[in-house]
Amino acid sequence: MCNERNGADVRTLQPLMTDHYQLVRDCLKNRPEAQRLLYDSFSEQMMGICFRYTKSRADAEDVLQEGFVRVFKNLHQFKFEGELGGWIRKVMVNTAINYLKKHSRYQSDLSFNDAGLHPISADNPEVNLSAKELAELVRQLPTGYQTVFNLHAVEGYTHVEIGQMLGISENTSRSQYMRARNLLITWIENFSREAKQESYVRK
Amino acid sequence: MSENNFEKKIQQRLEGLRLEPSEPVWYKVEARIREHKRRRRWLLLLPFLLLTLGGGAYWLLSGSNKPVTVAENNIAVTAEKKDSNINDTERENKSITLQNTESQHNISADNKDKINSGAGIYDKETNRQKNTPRSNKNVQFAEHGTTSITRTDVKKKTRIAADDEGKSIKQPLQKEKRDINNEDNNISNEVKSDTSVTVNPPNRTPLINNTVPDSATEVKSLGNKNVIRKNEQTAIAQPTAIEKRNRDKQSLLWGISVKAGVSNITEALLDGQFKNALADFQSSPNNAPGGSGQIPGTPAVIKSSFAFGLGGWIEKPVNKKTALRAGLNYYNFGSRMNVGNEVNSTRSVYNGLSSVVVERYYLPGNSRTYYNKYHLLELPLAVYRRFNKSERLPFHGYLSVNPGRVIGSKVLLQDTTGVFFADGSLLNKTTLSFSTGFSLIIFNKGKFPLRTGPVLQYQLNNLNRSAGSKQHISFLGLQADVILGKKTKPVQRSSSN
Repeated sequence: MCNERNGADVRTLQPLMTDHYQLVRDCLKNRPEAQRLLYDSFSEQMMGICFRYTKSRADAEDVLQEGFVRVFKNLHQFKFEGELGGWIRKVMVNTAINYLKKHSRYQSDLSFNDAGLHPISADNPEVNLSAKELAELVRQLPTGYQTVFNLHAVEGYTHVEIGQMLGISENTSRSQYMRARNLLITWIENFSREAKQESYVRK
Repeated sequence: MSENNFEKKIQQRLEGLRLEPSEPVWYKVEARIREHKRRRRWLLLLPFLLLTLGGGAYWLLSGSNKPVTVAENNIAVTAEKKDSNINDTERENKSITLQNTESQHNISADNKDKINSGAGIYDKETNRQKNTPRSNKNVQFAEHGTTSITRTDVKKKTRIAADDEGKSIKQPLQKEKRDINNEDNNISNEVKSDTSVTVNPPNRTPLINNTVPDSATEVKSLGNKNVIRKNEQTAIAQPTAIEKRNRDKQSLLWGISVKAGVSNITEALLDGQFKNALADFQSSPNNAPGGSGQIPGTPAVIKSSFAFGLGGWIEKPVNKKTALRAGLNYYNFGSRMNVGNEVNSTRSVYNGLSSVVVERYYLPGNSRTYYNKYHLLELPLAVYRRFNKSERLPFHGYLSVNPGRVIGSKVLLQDTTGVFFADGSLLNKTTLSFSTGFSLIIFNKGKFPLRTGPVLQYQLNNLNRSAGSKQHISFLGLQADVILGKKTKPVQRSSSN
């Protein structure tokens, strides 16, 4: 009994990363339950990512589906270095960008017309919005802004990397980002103001 | 600083975003990954299936070409004569039973009259049926009557009923059931032979349909039995030639094919677009550092690489000089090129249709050699034409059209900046090629003749769907076909009467 408890404790204390590595090994052996477990472990987080890059929930689910298919097909390329979640996230982001490029309803909006450098906004508003509300605001940005903003502000890619990923220059990426940022700050401020007014009315 | 704070807040907030996807998403994912695995499993099984099919066909065909031996040991052939006034109940459905150590054959026939006629014995050496007519007329099976044949081993008897008037037998004994009709039954002979009996298989030519005069048949007494022997080869020589000619006309060859040589891709992907990109770059005002234009690279030099193919085929002669062939081939074509270091990082590349993000790519350079591989399945349809009359070394030329399908690939493409990347979606999966060559059949008299010669193959349609691509696979090599078997179709027996 004691041994069982100790065993259970050891299992509980095992790093999550090791569990994920084992999960990957099981998936590589084509075990359906492992595949389902991997999907369940990451689907919600990845759905959040897909949601930020697309304009509708249906599109987000399409990206999620395509992304997980790519994950399972290319799982043998996972090198067991670093977090599995990070690797899956990278696949999802790439899938999302390819999805935007492939689908015509996004293509027209994904044109990165370089309007020159934009002055950096010094605004640093309070962000009192929930994750979902903030994501909804990001999704209302034009697709080009939305993509660059997500890649830089959330995923942490540099403008050089974004330029390479999207096939645009570094400066274009930078200016697109600043426009997106300013627009978003304005919307966040408006949102906060409206929220305050609403609370005053209630009072 | 303020910018960083804002980004940090956004990142923290959005990192926590969790949304539950709807349940059908998993089912779709699962269906697609299962489908992918099923396809891979099937491809792994394909060579095994081909081998099994080939082996099975060989076993079947080689078995059917052997003459059917009715009995290995002595056999007694009895021809019984029955009176024509046998009652009606005996006239119907007489069964012919052939038995030997290997199998049992039942031969039944409807008859209008109960007839037992004299018949012939089967000579092992000549595979010919000998007639035992008593009159100058041929022994012949006709609509009326039934022939009752019982073949046994040493202790058993074979009864062959034949025409009293000695008409020729039109049908040889067959392994399976058959109807044998006889016209009249006036002869009753019991014949015993010490030779084993061989009966031509059903697909052979008609054995005897000749007129054998009574004088040509000699009946010798062996104890109480009558031994019927055909007098010399007169009745046999003519059908043998006919048989051989018919067999040559209708034979069906089959075998396996192996090809080995070098293959190449005629043009690098986007070769034309490199030139366009360079022209655009030179004329664009936006190509200054910091502009959106990117410096175009140089297209890689694609070199030839080893390639091979395996397959099975079946060939149908149309006439003496021409034959048609169909088959199934697997090819492993390849090419090679020099690439730079591998980079495990995301990058947007232009694949000729649109920009895509890749997770891995190779820089331009010469630090390593990369081997591109294409796996194809093809269904070749070929016309073979013979150029000489030599039986020892037949010489053929051929032309083949090969519709096919790319079943797998490991290929690097190059974008206009010179970066190499993998993108299987660009590949045109359906292919159409033609091949031509010459072949010489060696060991033609042997058990497994070998047909060998050079082959040239060229893919007619574009390998890549990209607009700027003109990629075609070419192959030059040697082909060797092993002729494993020959199947002769059953020949309709012609009546000379």
